Amino acid sequence: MSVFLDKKFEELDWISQAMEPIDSELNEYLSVLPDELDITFDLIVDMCKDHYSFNLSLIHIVPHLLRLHYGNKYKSTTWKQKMMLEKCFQFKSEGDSLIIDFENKSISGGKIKLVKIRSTMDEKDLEEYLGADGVMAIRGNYSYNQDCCSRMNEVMELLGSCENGLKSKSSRIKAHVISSRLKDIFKKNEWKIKDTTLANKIGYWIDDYIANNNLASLSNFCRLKVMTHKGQPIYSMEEVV
Amino acid sequence: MREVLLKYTKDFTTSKPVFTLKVTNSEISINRAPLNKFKPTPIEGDTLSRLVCSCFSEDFSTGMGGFVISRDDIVKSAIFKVNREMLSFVERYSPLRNPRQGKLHKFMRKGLYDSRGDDLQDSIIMLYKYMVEKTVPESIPEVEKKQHVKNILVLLENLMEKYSEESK
Repeated sequence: MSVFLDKKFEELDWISQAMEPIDSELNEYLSVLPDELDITFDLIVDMCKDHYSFNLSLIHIVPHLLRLHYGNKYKSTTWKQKMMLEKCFQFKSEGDSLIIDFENKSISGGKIKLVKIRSTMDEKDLEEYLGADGVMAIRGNYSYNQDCCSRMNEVMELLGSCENGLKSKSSRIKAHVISSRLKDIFKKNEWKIKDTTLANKIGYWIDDYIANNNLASLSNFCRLKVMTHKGQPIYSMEEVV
Repeated sequence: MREVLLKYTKDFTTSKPVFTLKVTNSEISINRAPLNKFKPTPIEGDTLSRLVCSCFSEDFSTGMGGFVISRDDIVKSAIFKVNREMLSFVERYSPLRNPRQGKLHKFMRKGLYDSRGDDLQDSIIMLYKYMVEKTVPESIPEVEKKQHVKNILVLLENLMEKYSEESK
């Protein structure tokens, strides 16, 4: 039954297996970023070039730093991820009268620092984040049409408790029921998924199957569904590409 | 007349790109107003110089790391201001009960966004100069001001007739 084996869970030490912490790539991102960073003139200019605003907020600087520190391995972060990472940092300034001089390319009157205030993501935040991006992928896809309805019905039967969606003929209502049911599953931790990347993939698989009739995505979703019957926490699964 | 207005911008420079920074826990914001903002000084008693100086504007370019000005844009903005003020003048002093429905208002309104011929635009700028110098200062008696207002309205109507005929 190696198809349904959760390798990541097997590799965890016994304390982790007992505690069942939520694993997330956000913790990996966080560990790469420095605990303290001087905000220099060049960094401010570099950031201001990227967007129109004259203000530099955490939500802009954190992905920028990830790109710098993570190099090619860095995949773009979603808005939700940015918002979560933002909570782990703060700007701190020394000096009351800070002045930026574009002519002399300098900051005077004090120093500005970016300080990491949390070294790991909060478990409660991660619980809320489970599957959120995947749910958004379904909710934000407006290309579902009547041809997708039969596939949507299949997904709803797999998800269970989707009677309203099955009765309806509207693809929009069906999509709404699917995304709400998925959100509910993660909220109540029905499937015991403990990895944010895996949890997010579920929504993307469902979306891919409904919109593009991709059978590999359906297969992945079904495998995961089978794994949930064991009642054990799920950290990983073997995917079909 | 554009060249004349352009000459007034000759001495315009830009502000130094030095700003104050405000830091909160979640944001670093740069105060958009520079510490030493450049303010052009109009030539005393020169209406057109005052007009051009009042239209001074500069933009900050992050790429260039400083302020940039477009003299042409300042002149365009000055001409627009002239047209707008003259339109307001017509609205305020027209003898008609509803000036906005009058031909003169329509003529002036049309020129606000459509480009006019240079001759007509120059005449309107000169009328603006006349209007500012003769109808605005408090030192001029009201009776005299009224005469100047009438003069300007008549001149504007003449311009309208002349240039409307030409366009036909």
